[in-house]
Amino acid sequence: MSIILQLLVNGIIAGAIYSLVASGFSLIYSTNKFIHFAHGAVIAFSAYVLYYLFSVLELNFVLAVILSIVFASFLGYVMNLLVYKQLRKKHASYVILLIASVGILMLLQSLILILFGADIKTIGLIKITKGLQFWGVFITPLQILIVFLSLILLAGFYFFMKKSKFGKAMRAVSDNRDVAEIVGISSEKVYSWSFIIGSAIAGVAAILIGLEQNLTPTMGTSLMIKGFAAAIIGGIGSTYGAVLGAFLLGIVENFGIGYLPSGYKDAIAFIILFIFLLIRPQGILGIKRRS
Amino acid sequence: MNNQATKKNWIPIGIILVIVVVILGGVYFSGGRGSKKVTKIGVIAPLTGPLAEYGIAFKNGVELANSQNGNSNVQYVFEDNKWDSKEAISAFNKLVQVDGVSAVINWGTPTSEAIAPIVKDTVPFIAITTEPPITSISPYIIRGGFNQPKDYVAQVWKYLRSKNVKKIGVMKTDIVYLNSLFAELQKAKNSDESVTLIDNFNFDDADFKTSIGKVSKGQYDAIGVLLVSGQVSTFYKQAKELGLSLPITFGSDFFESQSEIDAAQGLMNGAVYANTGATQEFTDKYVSTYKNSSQMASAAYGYDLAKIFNTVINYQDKDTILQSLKSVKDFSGVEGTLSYSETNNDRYFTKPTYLKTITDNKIQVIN
Repeated sequence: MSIILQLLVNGIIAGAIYSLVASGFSLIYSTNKFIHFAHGAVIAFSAYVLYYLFSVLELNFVLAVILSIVFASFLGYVMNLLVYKQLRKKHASYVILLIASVGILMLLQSLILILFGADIKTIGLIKITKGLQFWGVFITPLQILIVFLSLILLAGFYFFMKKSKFGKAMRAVSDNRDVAEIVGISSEKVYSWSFIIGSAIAGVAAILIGLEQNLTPTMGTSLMIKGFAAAIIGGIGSTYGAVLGAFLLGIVENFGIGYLPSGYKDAIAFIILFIFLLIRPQGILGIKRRS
Repeated sequence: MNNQATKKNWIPIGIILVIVVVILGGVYFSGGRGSKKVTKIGVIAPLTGPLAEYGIAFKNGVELANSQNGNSNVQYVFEDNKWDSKEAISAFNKLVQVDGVSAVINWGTPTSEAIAPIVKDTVPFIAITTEPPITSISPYIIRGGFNQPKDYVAQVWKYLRSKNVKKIGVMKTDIVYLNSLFAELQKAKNSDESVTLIDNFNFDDADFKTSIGKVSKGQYDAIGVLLVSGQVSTFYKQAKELGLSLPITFGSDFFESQSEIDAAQGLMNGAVYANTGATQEFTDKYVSTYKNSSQMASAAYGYDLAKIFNTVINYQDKDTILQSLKSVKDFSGVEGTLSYSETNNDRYFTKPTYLKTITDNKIQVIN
């Protein structure tokens, strides 16, 4: 019984990490309608910024956290301003924007390598200790915090998108940009803010993932692959759907490798993805569009 | 209006002209001038990507050796294979066809395997890999670098048997090199010993929690942590967090990373691994130059190879280069004594392997 419970908890922890990636990514997709792969690099870069501020410059941790989140937001804003906005002005297709995002991902990864080196980095705030034990299941306080925050994000997104004026504006642009423009919503403003908010969430993800895992220059790519799969499963463009998709993915993966070799983990993730694409292509909470 | 259009038309032509001038200038300044004949050696290594820590250490080692060789006519041209076969092939083609190098060294097994079929009789090719079949593809290929799996296993088994270990469980990342070490571990076991694969991971896995449950079920005397950079310390961390008391643990040369050891916060202390070595004098010089002590064995190998290329090789033509490489015997390097060896269809450099342990978060050589 405790083995099954431990697998469930492991799955929830993995799902919470994926959800931190998927939610920001999905928020950006919901308005911009292209796959922003560089979101993974924003997470990686922000984690390295936290490392630099806290472990190298020895700034106060809270201050380092705030600066890292501000940096993530700024990075997202600048990416949109300098690359995506310019491409949109030239009426670039979504495929071009996607290719540009892959280019930015590679550029940022190389920049991390140049600035911070290839060897792994650790933020080193938390001393490694035995986790807390409940009914034979181990979990660390940081992992509890990660799960808790991802659930707060889920609730936060729900209210933000449904109740706030800006959330409604984002939904309007997401639904039909031209009509939104007619009623006075600036789509460019919404695009910019979705990058700022989505990247701020990437900053939060960077802090929590950076405390939980080692930092490597390529960490953004692997995080993004799972975040992307979770967003598709949850319903691409639905931020709270992405969070649900992330938890589902984490749990199924961990139960899968509980009985199969771990090498099948990615295969399990993509099998779930294919199943959803075949049976419910709009994902768990996505809306089926009429042709 | 017309004027503006004409101006716009000139912009691309101007850009093309600048590019042509830069290229021609580069060709002219890179080797077209001067009376001193420079021999170029191509070095392909993962300078970015997941194994960049190794590739950069290797490159640093080559550069350090070359910087100490004041009057050298040997110039090294570095290319990044990004630990990717396609990148490695284009890097090799560029080095041979554009840079006109006299020999190529490539770091890594899958990338060397990708290059091997196109080597033919172009230039001597040193493939830094543990996989013997590669040398049968072309007579111009010589294998070098890394632990030879048999030497690694001999050292590790000797240690484990001295601790009366009978039952080994292995956590392994699915790459050719670690697969070879695992296969050799199994081959070298006695009838009363067992080597079991607990789990096999992808290269970018960072979550071992579910697999750690399988470790505790197995009641092993020793755990082989044959994981790659970034994964090693994560495994120790997650095992501790899940309350698992690990028995004796052993690893591969992926343990030779001070950043990995620091990340594990003391949990790697007592672990052993076998790898090639580096003299203290070299280590001190390297650390003072590059302010980094990770992957010292890879750096030392780059250094020794560059020393061989700088001092031993006759560069008359590709066959004399090949013969010079084959004549390397008892070369006194920073890794120990290096010699060329040939068995059946395999051609490779031999060098000593040492058993190392981690004590007080530092790497110590046991023998």
